[in-house]
Amino acid sequence: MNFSVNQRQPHSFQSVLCAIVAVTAVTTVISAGPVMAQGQPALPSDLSLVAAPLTTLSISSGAVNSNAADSSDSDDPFDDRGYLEIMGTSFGEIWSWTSYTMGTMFSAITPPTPAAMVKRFQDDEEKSPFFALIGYAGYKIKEIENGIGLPPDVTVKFGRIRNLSDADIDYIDRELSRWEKRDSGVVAEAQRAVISTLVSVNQSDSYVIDAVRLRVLPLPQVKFTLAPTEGGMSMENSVLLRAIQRLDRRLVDVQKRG
Amino acid sequence: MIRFLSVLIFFCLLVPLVRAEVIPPELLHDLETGKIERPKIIISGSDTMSPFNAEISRHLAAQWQIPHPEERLAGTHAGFVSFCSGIGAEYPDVVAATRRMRQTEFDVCAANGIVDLIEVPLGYSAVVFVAKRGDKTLKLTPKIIFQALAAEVPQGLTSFAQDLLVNPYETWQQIDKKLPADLINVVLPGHATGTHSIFDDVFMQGGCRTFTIIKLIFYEKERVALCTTLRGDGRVVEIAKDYEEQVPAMVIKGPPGTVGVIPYFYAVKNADSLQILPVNGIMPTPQSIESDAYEGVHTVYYYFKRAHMRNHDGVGVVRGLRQFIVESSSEAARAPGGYLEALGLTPLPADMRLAQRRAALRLERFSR
Repeated sequence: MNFSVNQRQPHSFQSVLCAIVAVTAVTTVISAGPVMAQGQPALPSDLSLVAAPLTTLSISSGAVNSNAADSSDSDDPFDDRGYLEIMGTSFGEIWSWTSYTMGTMFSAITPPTPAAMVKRFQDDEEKSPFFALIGYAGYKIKEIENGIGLPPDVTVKFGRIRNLSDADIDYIDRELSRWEKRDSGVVAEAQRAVISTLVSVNQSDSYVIDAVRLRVLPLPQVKFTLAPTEGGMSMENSVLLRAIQRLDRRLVDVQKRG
Repeated sequence: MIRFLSVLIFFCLLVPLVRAEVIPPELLHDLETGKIERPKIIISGSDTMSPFNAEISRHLAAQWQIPHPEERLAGTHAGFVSFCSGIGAEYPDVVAATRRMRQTEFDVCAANGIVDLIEVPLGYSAVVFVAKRGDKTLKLTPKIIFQALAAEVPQGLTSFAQDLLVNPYETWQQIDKKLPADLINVVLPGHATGTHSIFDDVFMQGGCRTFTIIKLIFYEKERVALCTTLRGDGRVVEIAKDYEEQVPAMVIKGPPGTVGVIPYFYAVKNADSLQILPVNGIMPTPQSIESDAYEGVHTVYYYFKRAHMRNHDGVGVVRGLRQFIVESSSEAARAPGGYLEALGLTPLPADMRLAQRRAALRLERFSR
């Protein structure tokens, strides 16, 4: 099985993350700006003003509570940390919150990993009538394209792996009607239409559906790739055929000599 | 010698009389004037349909002057092949099929100029497995059936490391530990019969397609040959003629573990000596057949050639096709309590029957 995972995902994620971190850092600097201008030692209370909304946010997200609790320790009058050190701690808190929040957001908008997708589709082949029937219709998953972004993108490509016998067609027809009796919903109806299209087109003499691209996210879409039934032989197949023919000739020669 | 000649002359004189008796005068007149090309309807198709053909013909003959049709029953596919070969007196008028016409068969018909077909579904039937009453009940599945009967079966620990080897199974228990340790013995109708064709399509190919090694074979001809070639070591016996009598008799005489394959109608007929076996845990009953829950269910059909019907001037290939359509789609034949139900056919749902009856009476063209 071949997985083509979109390479732009980490790129776009990093750029979005960097931009948000930069904006947050600038906000911190702007908030701390007047203190620096006065040239006074940093007041913990000033920093707590910056940290306060972060604490609130972090509680709501429920992850950096311990860091938030640490930041309240800056009220300690014996805290002899330098301004830069305190800035560093603060920046760490901001980074921690940002990374967690972004992580949560990111996981909400990203599709499952390719490995999870493969497992899910394998499970579906056994459980879902659509995946079972597309298998019986002679198609198998060849690629899963898993694009991360807003919105995320998941496309499954099925390739044709076998011709159907008349009994296979009868079986699929029968399973489709059984499925219709069980589930007459819109989604199931659309899925049945995909299977019916595959079966009926492949019965024609001139064209077959060579591949099916099923986009799951963001919006469902199906694309059929039609190919002539008797297309020309590919270069690889042609080379293989010639090699087999050469081998065959040699074997005949050997037999004659023997 | 004189006696022989006198007998011969007597028979020669008798033939026209018999002919005149079998063929009604109206038909004879139509034949002589060239309005019709042949006196009898020709039905091709499955021999499983023979009882239905006979019963419908009997009812037709009671109402009309239509002689009993000539039957050329060599199997559903062979029936479609001859039916779709052309238009004219030498080609059949009706196909009695144990399954729906396939796209490929329809295309052959269309290529030969037969585009006006009328389809009449008669009802549901089923192919069932039977054993001797008193034997342990075998709980079969298509996979078990394929493994018990195929010449070559997949062997190997994992689905991706399997190979096709000569069938090694001698007892049912070797296939599934829950089955009894009786020897595998199966009696089934010959290859040309409709029942065998359904058995191949539903059970042999159905069981076969569960194996990954088979699913990976691209060409269907290669796959079908592997799936439907029966073992030749004597564990499977095919009955070419009179299987409806022979199969039950052989099952009753056979040792424990002997299984027969017959149409549901004959299984019910021999219910006192045979037990019907469940497939996938479902027993074939009128309810499970009607709901399509039982695996071996199939719908039986008639296909008529409109080009062979007589036109408004009474000119055509044969008389009686329209009457045959009317009779075969009638409620008297197909409804619950109808005469076809008495022959083991499970009636179609009422709304379906009504819609199909209307379509048949309007001579609506069948399309795929």
